[in-house]
Amino acid sequence: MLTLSVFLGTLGGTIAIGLPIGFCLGVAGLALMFFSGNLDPIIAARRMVSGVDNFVLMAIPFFMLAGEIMNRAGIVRDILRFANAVVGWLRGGLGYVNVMGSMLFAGVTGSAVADTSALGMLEIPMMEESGYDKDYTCALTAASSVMGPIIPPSIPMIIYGMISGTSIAKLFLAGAVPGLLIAVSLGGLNWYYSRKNRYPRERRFPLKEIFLVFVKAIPVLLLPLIVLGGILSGIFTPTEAAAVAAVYAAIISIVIYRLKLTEFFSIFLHAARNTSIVTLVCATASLVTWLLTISMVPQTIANFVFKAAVNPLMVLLGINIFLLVVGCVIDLVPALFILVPVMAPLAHSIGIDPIHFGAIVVCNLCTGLITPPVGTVLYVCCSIGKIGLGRLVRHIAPMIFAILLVLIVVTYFPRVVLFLPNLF
Amino acid sequence: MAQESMVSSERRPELFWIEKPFHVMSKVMRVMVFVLLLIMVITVFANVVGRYVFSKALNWADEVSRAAFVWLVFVSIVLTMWDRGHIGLGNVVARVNPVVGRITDVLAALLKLLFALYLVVGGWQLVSLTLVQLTEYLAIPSAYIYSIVPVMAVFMFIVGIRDLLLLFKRERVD
Repeated sequence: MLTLSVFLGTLGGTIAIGLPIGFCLGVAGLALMFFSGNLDPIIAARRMVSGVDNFVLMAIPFFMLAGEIMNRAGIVRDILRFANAVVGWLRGGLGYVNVMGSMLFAGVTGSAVADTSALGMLEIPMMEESGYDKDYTCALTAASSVMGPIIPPSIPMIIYGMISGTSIAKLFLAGAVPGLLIAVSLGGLNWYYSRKNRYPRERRFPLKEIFLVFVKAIPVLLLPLIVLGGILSGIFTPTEAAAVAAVYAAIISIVIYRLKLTEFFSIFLHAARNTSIVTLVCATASLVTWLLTISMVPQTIANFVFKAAVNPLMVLLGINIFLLVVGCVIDLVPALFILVPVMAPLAHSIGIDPIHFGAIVVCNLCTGLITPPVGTVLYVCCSIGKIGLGRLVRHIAPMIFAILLVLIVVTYFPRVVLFLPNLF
Repeated sequence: MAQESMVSSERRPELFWIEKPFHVMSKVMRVMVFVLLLIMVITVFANVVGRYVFSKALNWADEVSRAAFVWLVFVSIVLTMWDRGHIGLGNVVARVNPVVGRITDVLAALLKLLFALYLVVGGWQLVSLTLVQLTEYLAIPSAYIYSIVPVMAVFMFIVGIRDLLLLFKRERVD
């Protein structure tokens, strides 16, 4: 327990003085080594390298690359046009378009920030022009981006799968239903608000036009199918699927969207940059995890929980609350790297299905992306929508509750999550 | 946070003696990152094509892509550090008490330096230990792959020094 307090103390202290979390973990690692009396520098170097020298982890830059290419090529416009043709004619149509757009875009990227910034840039002005309240528009844009990392492909699921040694294909599938449920719950809220505030309808598309818009969207809609289909049928591994997705995205963006080759340099650098944010945390976290594991910290915590509790439902509730609190303060990716090594074995030992647990953890921490004070998506949305954090938080509160309802379903009705992965 | 481009690092208010050479260096590193990621995409994709079209798994491709990834990781970590892109909470202490906040800013910069220094030594040891350890398919010393660790740790140290100097030069960083 002393080891744990050294770790948490150093981590908390360094986070509070503004050190980037990747370095906080590194410094916490040094503190642990100092505490255990073994300050051999080679341990740090070796652990950091072995933490990132991982074939599975390579899926992350590839998915980032695919998403960035598609984004830069301007597919967002086609996604929104398609969504508009399908749901735009309803009352509050652009609200549904916003949700459905996020859902479709989630099939291209695995991260929420990309979702908010790429879609928000178009959606927010569009909805405002149509007479929607700015607060509502921004809140809906931020809330719907939560689907980004839940609907496959999903970077948090890759990280969870890598750390816990769970099948990434099954984890991807486990995210599909919760993602759809979030879309439905946000759609429900939009239904209510549109009636209340008399939000407008968009024009109805004639069938022929719907067909044309659909055809234009096909190359984009195919991407998630290639990725999921390829992995599930065993044609390629998740990492290979990600590389195929990147190549596919490059080909269609050059051939169909006429993306200039000169743009690729900055696209690649952008993907590498976003990857490096993850990999720094991954590298230093693997040092910390190793140190904690050799001092038996995960087992100690597991024993502690075993003695204190009790029935798995209570433990799940505790985990839910704990993850929500953590999600409020720590960003999604570091939270995964810090918590999963400890929590996944714990969940396994009390009989929770690892795939189910992955869905719980990811949905929980993704909700943390839109909860203050640390909600990456909130900040991105504030800067795109030019709206204050306080206003955004007030209007996003009901949406957070809607997502929490989904979270309850995900946590306590495993079958909802698991029936899809169990098909394969 | 993620939207600032890694390509342009224009917002350099004052160029230190330390920043000018590193600025040139960072351009080289950007090109490296591009090439490494390209190699990764090509090798992994080639492996899929190789397996299904020529029904031959390319073992060397697997190894090349992983080596490229290790390099990519360490180079891009330093680049993102240079652009101040790594995520953190921001200095909470400074919001409560600005004077103590100044001190903790310096402390944070020093901790970064300490960690970088540690990694320089550790990385060096790792390289010297793996000079004779050959990789499975290409049969090159693993030290070649790991050599990026101490090199980038040195750069990390240099960026850390810049951050520290900036603290004294300017009112507040960020």
